[in-house]
Amino acid sequence: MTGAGPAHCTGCGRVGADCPRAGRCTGPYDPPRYCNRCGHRLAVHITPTTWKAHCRTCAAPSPSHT
Amino acid sequence: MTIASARASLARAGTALIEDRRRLTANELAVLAALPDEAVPSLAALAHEVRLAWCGPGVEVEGILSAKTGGCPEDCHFCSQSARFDTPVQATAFLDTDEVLQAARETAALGATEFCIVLAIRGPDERTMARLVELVPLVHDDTGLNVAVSAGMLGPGQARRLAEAGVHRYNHNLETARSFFDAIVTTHTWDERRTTCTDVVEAGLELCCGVLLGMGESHDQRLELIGQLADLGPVEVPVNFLDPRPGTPLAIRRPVRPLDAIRWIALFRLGLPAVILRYAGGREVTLGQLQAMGMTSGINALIVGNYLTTLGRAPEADLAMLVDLHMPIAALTGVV
Repeated sequence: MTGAGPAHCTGCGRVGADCPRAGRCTGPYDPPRYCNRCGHRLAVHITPTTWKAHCRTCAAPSPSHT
Repeated sequence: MTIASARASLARAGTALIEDRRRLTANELAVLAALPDEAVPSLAALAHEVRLAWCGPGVEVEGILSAKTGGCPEDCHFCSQSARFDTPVQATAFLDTDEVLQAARETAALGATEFCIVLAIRGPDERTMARLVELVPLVHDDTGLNVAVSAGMLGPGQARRLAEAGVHRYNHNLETARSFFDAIVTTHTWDERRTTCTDVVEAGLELCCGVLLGMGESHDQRLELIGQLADLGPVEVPVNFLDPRPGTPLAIRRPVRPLDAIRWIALFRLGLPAVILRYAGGREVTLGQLQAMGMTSGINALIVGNYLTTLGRAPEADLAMLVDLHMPIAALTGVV
Protein backbone atom coordinates (compact mmCIF):
# COMPACT_ATOMS: atom_id res chain seq x y z
CA MET A 1 0.00 0.00 0.00
CA THR A 2 1.21 3.51 -0.80
CA GLY A 3 -0.14 6.96 0.00
CA ALA A 4 -2.69 7.94 2.66
CA GLY A 5 -5.87 6.37 1.23
CA PRO A 6 -6.89 2.73 1.14
CA ALA A 7 -5.14 0.57 -1.45
CA HIS A 8 -7.00 -0.43 -4.58
CA CYS A 9 -6.83 -3.88 -6.17
CA THR A 10 -4.54 -3.71 -9.21
CA GLY A 11 -6.68 -6.33 -10.96
CA CYS A 12 -10.17 -4.78 -10.64
CA GLY A 13 -9.55 -1.27 -9.31
CA ARG A 14 -11.85 -1.64 -6.32
CA VAL A 15 -10.83 -0.56 -2.85
CA GLY A 16 -9.38 -3.62 -1.14
CA ALA A 17 -12.42 -4.37 1.06
CA ASP A 18 -14.77 -4.22 -1.96
CA CYS A 19 -12.66 -6.49 -4.12
CA PRO A 20 -14.29 -9.93 -4.36
CA ARG A 21 -10.86 -11.54 -4.22
CA ALA A 22 -9.49 -9.41 -1.41
CA GLY A 23 -7.15 -7.46 -3.68
CA ARG A 24 -5.88 -10.53 -5.49
CA CYS A 25 -7.65 -10.19 -8.84
CA THR A 26 -4.38 -10.02 -10.72
CA GLY A 27 -3.53 -13.47 -12.04
CA PRO A 28 -0.02 -14.88 -12.30
CA TYR A 29 0.19 -13.83 -15.96
CA ASP A 30 -1.49 -10.43 -15.62
CA PRO A 31 0.31 -7.11 -15.24
CA PRO A 32 -1.38 -4.63 -12.90
CA ARG A 33 -4.25 -2.87 -14.67
CA TYR A 34 -5.41 -0.38 -12.02
CA CYS A 35 -3.48 2.09 -9.90
CA ASN A 36 -3.20 0.90 -6.32
CA ARG A 37 -3.37 4.53 -5.15
CA CYS A 38 -6.37 5.94 -7.01
CA GLY A 39 -7.99 2.90 -8.67
CA HIS A 40 -7.87 4.37 -12.17
CA ARG A 41 -6.80 2.31 -15.15
CA LEU A 42 -3.08 2.17 -15.85
CA ALA A 43 -1.41 2.64 -19.21
CA VAL A 44 0.54 -0.61 -19.49
CA HIS A 45 3.40 -1.15 -21.89
CA ILE A 46 4.34 -4.82 -22.34
CA THR A 47 7.41 -5.98 -24.23
CA PRO A 48 8.68 -9.54 -24.69
CA THR A 49 10.79 -9.39 -21.52
CA THR A 50 9.37 -6.63 -19.39
CA TRP A 51 6.42 -4.41 -18.61
CA LYS A 52 5.84 -0.99 -17.14
CA ALA A 53 2.67 0.71 -16.00
CA HIS A 54 1.83 4.37 -15.54
CA CYS A 55 -1.11 6.11 -13.90
CA ARG A 56 -2.16 9.18 -15.83
CA THR A 57 -4.23 10.38 -12.88
CA CYS A 58 -1.58 10.12 -10.18
CA ALA A 59 1.22 10.61 -12.68
CA ALA A 60 2.90 7.89 -10.67
CA PRO A 61 4.68 4.98 -12.32
CA SER A 62 4.06 1.53 -10.96
CA PRO A 63 7.19 -0.54 -10.61
CA SER A 64 8.50 -1.94 -13.86
CA HIS A 65 9.05 -5.63 -13.93
CA THR A 66 11.55 -7.71 -15.81
CA MET B 1 -13.62 -46.74 -30.07
CA THR B 2 -11.43 -49.47 -28.59
CA ILE B 3 -7.73 -49.05 -27.98
CA ALA B 4 -7.06 -51.69 -30.65
CA SER B 5 -9.01 -49.80 -33.29
CA ALA B 6 -7.40 -46.55 -32.15
CA ARG B 7 -3.99 -48.16 -32.68
CA ALA B 8 -5.01 -49.28 -36.16
CA SER B 9 -6.25 -45.77 -37.07
CA LEU B 10 -2.98 -44.25 -35.88
CA ALA B 11 -0.97 -46.77 -37.89
CA ARG B 12 -2.91 -45.95 -41.06
CA ALA B 13 -2.41 -42.22 -40.48
CA GLY B 14 1.31 -42.74 -39.93
CA THR B 15 1.64 -44.70 -43.15
CA ALA B 16 -0.20 -41.99 -45.09
CA LEU B 17 1.76 -39.06 -43.68
CA ILE B 18 5.24 -40.50 -43.30
CA GLU B 19 5.62 -43.35 -45.79
CA ASP B 20 3.23 -42.21 -48.54
CA ARG B 21 3.81 -38.53 -47.70
CA ARG B 22 0.25 -37.59 -48.42
CA ARG B 23 -2.14 -35.43 -46.43
CA LEU B 24 -4.99 -36.98 -44.50
CA THR B 25 -8.51 -36.69 -45.78
CA ALA B 26 -11.14 -34.93 -43.68
CA ASN B 27 -12.63 -38.30 -42.77
CA GLU B 28 -9.28 -39.73 -41.70
CA LEU B 29 -8.69 -36.70 -39.47
CA ALA B 30 -12.21 -36.98 -37.99
CA VAL B 31 -11.48 -40.58 -36.98
CA LEU B 32 -8.36 -39.44 -35.12
CA ALA B 33 -10.31 -36.61 -33.43
CA ALA B 34 -12.61 -39.26 -31.94
CA LEU B 35 -9.84 -41.27 -30.30
CA PRO B 36 -10.34 -41.91 -26.57
CA ASP B 37 -8.34 -39.89 -24.02
CA GLU B 38 -6.12 -42.93 -23.39
CA ALA B 39 -4.88 -42.72 -26.97
CA VAL B 40 -3.93 -39.02 -26.84
CA PRO B 41 -0.26 -39.69 -25.93
CA SER B 42 0.00 -42.00 -28.95
CA LEU B 43 -1.68 -39.37 -31.13
CA ALA B 44 0.81 -36.80 -29.85
CA ALA B 45 3.73 -39.12 -30.56
CA LEU B 46 2.57 -39.57 -34.15
CA ALA B 47 2.19 -35.81 -34.55
CA HIS B 48 5.74 -35.32 -33.31
CA GLU B 49 7.04 -37.90 -35.75
CA VAL B 50 5.15 -36.17 -38.58
CA ARG B 51 6.53 -32.79 -37.56
CA LEU B 52 10.10 -34.16 -37.66
CA ALA B 53 9.52 -35.83 -41.02
CA TRP B 54 7.93 -32.80 -42.68
CA CYS B 55 9.62 -29.88 -40.91
CA GLY B 56 12.78 -31.14 -39.22
CA PRO B 57 13.92 -30.61 -35.63
CA GLY B 58 14.27 -26.80 -35.63
CA VAL B 59 12.07 -24.56 -33.53
CA GLU B 60 11.35 -20.97 -34.51
CA VAL B 61 11.36 -18.51 -31.62
CA GLU B 62 9.52 -15.22 -31.91
CA GLY B 63 8.87 -12.16 -29.78
CA ILE B 64 5.73 -10.08 -30.21
CA LEU B 65 5.02 -6.48 -29.31
CA SER B 66 1.72 -4.69 -28.93
CA ALA B 67 2.83 -1.45 -30.55
CA LYS B 68 -0.64 0.10 -30.36
CA THR B 69 -2.84 -1.25 -27.59
CA GLY B 70 -6.59 -1.18 -27.02
CA GLY B 71 -9.25 1.07 -28.49
CA CYS B 72 -10.02 -1.34 -31.32
CA PRO B 73 -13.40 -0.70 -32.99
CA GLU B 74 -14.01 -4.41 -33.66
CA ASP B 75 -15.99 -6.64 -31.30
CA CYS B 76 -14.04 -9.90 -31.26
CA HIS B 77 -15.65 -11.41 -28.16
CA PHE B 78 -12.42 -12.88 -26.81
CA CYS B 79 -10.41 -9.68 -26.96
CA SER B 80 -9.69 -7.30 -24.10
CA GLN B 81 -8.52 -4.66 -26.58
CA SER B 82 -11.97 -4.04 -28.05
CA ALA B 83 -13.32 -0.55 -27.29
CA ARG B 84 -16.80 -2.10 -27.22
CA PHE B 85 -16.23 -3.95 -23.94
CA ASP B 86 -15.49 -2.55 -20.49
CA THR B 87 -12.17 -4.24 -19.90
CA PRO B 88 -9.19 -3.25 -17.74
CA VAL B 89 -7.02 -2.54 -20.78
CA GLN B 90 -6.29 1.17 -21.22
CA ALA B 91 -5.83 2.25 -24.82
CA THR B 92 -2.40 3.64 -25.63
CA ALA B 93 -0.98 5.29 -28.76
CA PHE B 94 1.44 3.80 -31.29
CA LEU B 95 4.77 3.43 -29.51
CA ASP B 96 7.73 5.60 -30.42
CA THR B 97 10.30 4.18 -32.80
CA ASP B 98 12.84 3.91 -29.97
CA GLU B 99 10.42 1.88 -27.87
CA VAL B 100 9.79 -0.54 -30.73
CA LEU B 101 13.52 -0.85 -31.39
CA GLN B 102 14.22 -1.55 -27.73
CA ALA B 103 11.64 -4.33 -27.68
CA ALA B 104 13.14 -5.81 -30.84
CA ARG B 105 16.61 -5.75 -29.29
CA GLU B 106 15.25 -7.59 -26.24
CA THR B 107 13.83 -10.19 -28.59
CA ALA B 108 17.08 -10.59 -30.51
CA ALA B 109 19.01 -10.98 -27.25
CA LEU B 110 16.89 -14.04 -26.45
CA GLY B 111 18.08 -15.76 -29.62
CA ALA B 112 14.79 -15.30 -31.45
CA THR B 113 14.70 -14.95 -35.23
CA GLU B 114 11.27 -13.36 -35.66
CA PHE B 115 9.70 -10.20 -34.24
CA CYS B 116 6.08 -9.27 -34.80
CA ILE B 117 4.75 -5.72 -34.53
CA VAL B 118 1.07 -5.93 -33.59
CA LEU B 119 -1.49 -3.13 -33.76
CA ALA B 120 -5.02 -3.29 -32.31
CA ILE B 121 -6.84 -1.75 -35.25
CA ARG B 122 -9.43 -2.73 -37.84
CA GLY B 123 -6.90 -2.02 -40.56
CA PRO B 124 -4.11 0.44 -41.28
CA ASP B 125 -4.88 3.99 -42.42
CA GLU B 126 -2.31 5.89 -44.46
CA ARG B 127 -0.58 7.33 -41.40
CA THR B 128 -0.21 3.86 -39.90
CA MET B 129 1.06 2.45 -43.18
CA ALA B 130 3.69 5.19 -43.30
CA ARG B 131 4.84 4.32 -39.76
CA LEU B 132 5.07 0.62 -40.60
CA VAL B 133 6.93 1.22 -43.84
CA GLU B 134 9.43 3.32 -41.90
CA LEU B 135 9.71 1.01 -38.88
CA VAL B 136 10.12 -2.39 -40.47
CA PRO B 137 13.47 -1.80 -42.22
CA LEU B 138 14.77 0.03 -39.15
CA VAL B 139 14.02 -2.95 -36.93
CA HIS B 140 15.44 -5.43 -39.40
CA ASP B 141 18.64 -3.46 -40.00
CA ASP B 142 19.16 -2.81 -36.29
CA THR B 143 18.59 -6.35 -35.03
CA GLY B 144 18.81 -8.71 -38.00
CA LEU B 145 15.41 -10.12 -37.02
CA ASN B 146 12.81 -11.11 -39.57
CA VAL B 147 9.99 -8.64 -39.04
CA ALA B 148 6.35 -9.63 -39.11
CA VAL B 149 3.36 -7.30 -38.88
CA SER B 150 -0.19 -7.77 -37.64
CA ALA B 151 -2.32 -4.73 -38.42
CA GLY B 152 -5.78 -6.05 -39.18
CA MET B 153 -7.56 -6.16 -42.50
CA LEU B 154 -5.63 -4.78 -45.44
CA GLY B 155 -6.99 -2.63 -48.22
CA PRO B 156 -6.09 -2.76 -51.90
CA GLY B 157 -2.36 -2.59 -52.49
CA GLN B 158 -1.42 -2.51 -48.80
CA ALA B 159 -0.06 -6.05 -48.67
CA ARG B 160 2.22 -5.29 -51.61
CA ARG B 161 3.46 -2.08 -49.96
CA LEU B 162 4.29 -3.99 -46.80
CA ALA B 163 6.12 -6.62 -48.82
CA GLU B 164 8.15 -3.93 -50.54
CA ALA B 165 9.00 -2.42 -47.14
CA GLY B 166 10.58 -5.72 -46.11
CA VAL B 167 7.83 -7.29 -44.04
CA HIS B 168 8.68 -10.96 -43.85
CA ARG B 169 5.38 -12.37 -42.68
CA TYR B 170 1.91 -10.92 -42.15
CA ASN B 171 -0.31 -12.20 -39.36
CA HIS B 172 -4.03 -12.31 -39.84
CA ASN B 173 -5.90 -14.98 -37.93
CA LEU B 174 -9.02 -16.78 -39.06
CA GLU B 175 -9.46 -17.51 -35.32
CA THR B 176 -12.27 -20.01 -35.82
CA ALA B 177 -14.31 -21.91 -38.38
CA ARG B 178 -16.47 -20.03 -40.84
CA SER B 179 -19.59 -21.69 -39.39
CA PHE B 180 -18.83 -20.37 -35.87
CA PHE B 181 -17.35 -16.96 -36.66
CA ASP B 182 -20.62 -15.00 -36.42
CA ALA B 183 -20.96 -16.06 -32.79
CA ILE B 184 -17.61 -14.44 -32.01
CA VAL B 185 -17.38 -11.36 -34.23
CA THR B 186 -20.16 -9.21 -35.69
CA THR B 187 -18.24 -6.16 -36.96
CA HIS B 188 -16.60 -7.97 -39.85
CA THR B 189 -17.00 -11.32 -41.54
CA TRP B 190 -14.92 -14.46 -41.82
CA ASP B 191 -14.82 -13.88 -45.57
CA GLU B 192 -13.31 -10.43 -45.07
CA ARG B 193 -10.57 -12.01 -43.00
CA ARG B 194 -9.99 -14.63 -45.63
CA THR B 195 -9.70 -11.95 -48.31
CA THR B 196 -6.88 -10.26 -46.42
CA CYS B 197 -5.18 -13.64 -46.08
CA THR B 198 -5.34 -14.29 -49.81
CA ASP B 199 -4.14 -10.74 -50.54
CA VAL B 200 -1.12 -11.41 -48.32
CA VAL B 201 -0.24 -14.58 -50.19
CA GLU B 202 -0.70 -12.94 -53.59
CA ALA B 203 1.62 -10.08 -52.53
CA GLY B 204 4.39 -12.58 -51.87
CA LEU B 205 4.35 -12.25 -48.10
CA GLU B 206 4.45 -15.29 -45.89
CA LEU B 207 1.01 -15.73 -44.33
CA CYS B 208 0.73 -16.34 -40.61
CA CYS B 209 -2.86 -17.35 -39.91
CA GLY B 210 -3.74 -18.38 -36.40
CA VAL B 211 -6.54 -20.01 -34.48
CA LEU B 212 -8.08 -19.54 -31.05
CA LEU B 213 -9.45 -22.68 -29.45
CA GLY B 214 -11.87 -22.85 -26.54
CA MET B 215 -14.48 -20.24 -27.48
CA GLY B 216 -17.36 -22.73 -27.54
CA GLU B 217 -16.75 -24.15 -30.99
CA SER B 218 -17.55 -27.82 -31.55
CA HIS B 219 -15.03 -30.49 -32.45
CA ASP B 220 -16.54 -30.61 -35.93
CA GLN B 221 -15.93 -26.87 -36.24
CA ARG B 222 -12.30 -27.32 -35.24
CA LEU B 223 -11.97 -29.92 -37.96
CA GLU B 224 -13.72 -27.55 -40.36
CA LEU B 225 -11.15 -24.88 -39.46
CA ILE B 226 -8.25 -27.24 -40.17
CA GLY B 227 -9.71 -27.86 -43.62
CA GLN B 228 -10.16 -24.14 -44.24
CA LEU B 229 -6.55 -23.49 -43.24
CA ALA B 230 -5.36 -26.29 -45.49
CA ASP B 231 -7.16 -24.60 -48.39
CA LEU B 232 -5.57 -21.26 -47.54
CA GLY B 233 -2.01 -22.58 -47.28
CA PRO B 234 -0.43 -20.41 -44.56
CA VAL B 235 3.25 -20.78 -43.78
CA GLU B 236 2.56 -20.43 -40.07
CA VAL B 237 -0.37 -21.27 -37.82
CA PRO B 238 -0.19 -19.90 -34.27
CA VAL B 239 -2.33 -21.94 -31.88
CA ASN B 240 -3.94 -19.78 -29.20
CA PHE B 241 -6.03 -21.09 -26.34
CA LEU B 242 -8.70 -18.87 -24.83
CA ASP B 243 -7.51 -17.18 -21.67
CA PRO B 244 -10.86 -15.72 -20.57
CA ARG B 245 -10.42 -11.98 -20.14
CA PRO B 246 -12.39 -9.87 -17.65
CA GLY B 247 -15.02 -7.67 -19.25
CA THR B 248 -15.24 -9.62 -22.51
CA PRO B 249 -18.28 -11.70 -23.48
CA LEU B 250 -16.16 -14.84 -23.12
CA ALA B 251 -14.94 -13.96 -19.61
CA ILE B 252 -16.84 -16.79 -17.95
CA ARG B 253 -15.73 -19.60 -20.27
CA ARG B 254 -13.46 -22.25 -18.82
CA PRO B 255 -10.04 -22.82 -20.40
CA VAL B 256 -9.54 -25.89 -22.58
CA ARG B 257 -8.55 -28.99 -20.57
CA PRO B 258 -4.82 -29.70 -20.82
CA LEU B 259 -5.20 -33.13 -22.43
CA ASP B 260 -7.69 -31.74 -24.95
CA ALA B 261 -5.19 -29.01 -25.80
CA ILE B 262 -2.58 -31.69 -26.51
CA ARG B 263 -5.09 -33.63 -28.60
CA TRP B 264 -5.85 -30.58 -30.76
CA ILE B 265 -2.25 -29.50 -31.14
CA ALA B 266 -1.60 -32.99 -32.49
CA LEU B 267 -4.61 -32.87 -34.80
CA PHE B 268 -3.58 -29.49 -36.22
CA ARG B 269 -0.14 -30.95 -36.97
CA LEU B 270 -1.62 -34.06 -38.57
CA GLY B 271 -4.01 -31.97 -40.64
CA LEU B 272 -1.39 -29.37 -41.58
CA PRO B 273 1.83 -31.39 -41.68
CA ALA B 274 4.07 -28.76 -43.31
CA VAL B 275 3.15 -25.60 -41.40
CA ILE B 276 5.10 -23.81 -38.74
CA LEU B 277 2.80 -24.62 -35.82
CA ARG B 278 3.42 -22.07 -33.11
CA TYR B 279 2.62 -22.07 -29.42
CA ALA B 280 0.89 -18.75 -28.83
CA GLY B 281 -1.32 -17.06 -26.25
CA GLY B 282 -2.98 -18.96 -23.43
CA ARG B 283 -0.60 -21.90 -23.31
CA GLU B 284 0.59 -21.20 -19.78
CA VAL B 285 -2.96 -21.02 -18.43
CA THR B 286 -4.22 -23.97 -20.49
CA LEU B 287 -1.35 -26.43 -20.44
CA GLY B 288 0.36 -25.66 -17.15
CA GLN B 289 2.79 -28.50 -16.53
CA LEU B 290 2.18 -30.04 -19.99
CA GLN B 291 3.96 -27.32 -21.98
CA ALA B 292 6.93 -29.55 -22.81
CA MET B 293 4.51 -32.24 -23.98
CA GLY B 294 3.08 -29.79 -26.51
CA MET B 295 6.55 -29.45 -28.00
CA THR B 296 6.50 -33.19 -28.65
CA SER B 297 2.94 -33.15 -29.99
CA GLY B 298 3.54 -31.25 -33.21
CA ILE B 299 4.55 -27.73 -32.16
CA ASN B 300 7.71 -26.41 -33.86
CA ALA B 301 7.66 -22.73 -32.96
CA LEU B 302 6.82 -20.59 -29.98
CA ILE B 303 6.24 -17.06 -28.86
CA VAL B 304 8.74 -16.43 -26.14
CA GLY B 305 8.19 -14.04 -23.25
CA ASN B 306 5.16 -11.81 -22.90
CA TYR B 307 2.10 -11.54 -25.11
CA LEU B 308 0.06 -8.50 -26.14
CA THR B 309 -1.87 -7.84 -22.93
CA THR B 310 -0.78 -10.71 -20.70
CA LEU B 311 2.55 -12.01 -19.50
CA GLY B 312 4.21 -15.25 -20.52
CA ARG B 313 6.44 -17.48 -18.47
CA ALA B 314 10.08 -16.52 -18.19
CA PRO B 315 11.88 -16.80 -21.55
CA GLU B 316 14.68 -18.67 -19.79
CA ALA B 317 12.22 -21.46 -18.93
CA ASP B 318 11.24 -21.89 -22.57
CA LEU B 319 14.82 -21.77 -23.81
CA ALA B 320 15.87 -24.34 -21.20
CA MET B 321 12.95 -26.53 -22.30
CA LEU B 322 14.24 -26.46 -25.89
CA VAL B 323 17.75 -27.40 -24.74
CA ASP B 324 16.36 -30.27 -22.68
CA LEU B 325 14.35 -31.49 -25.68
CA HIS B 326 17.37 -31.22 -28.04
CA MET B 327 15.42 -28.85 -30.26
CA PRO B 328 17.66 -26.25 -31.91
CA ILE B 329 16.40 -22.72 -32.54
CA ALA B 330 16.07 -22.07 -36.27
CA ALA B 331 14.50 -19.63 -38.68
CA LEU B 332 11.89 -21.67 -40.49
CA THR B 333 9.91 -21.22 -43.64
CA GLY B 334 7.09 -23.17 -45.16
CA VAL B 335 7.67 -26.61 -46.65
CA VAL B 336 4.32 -26.61 -48.43
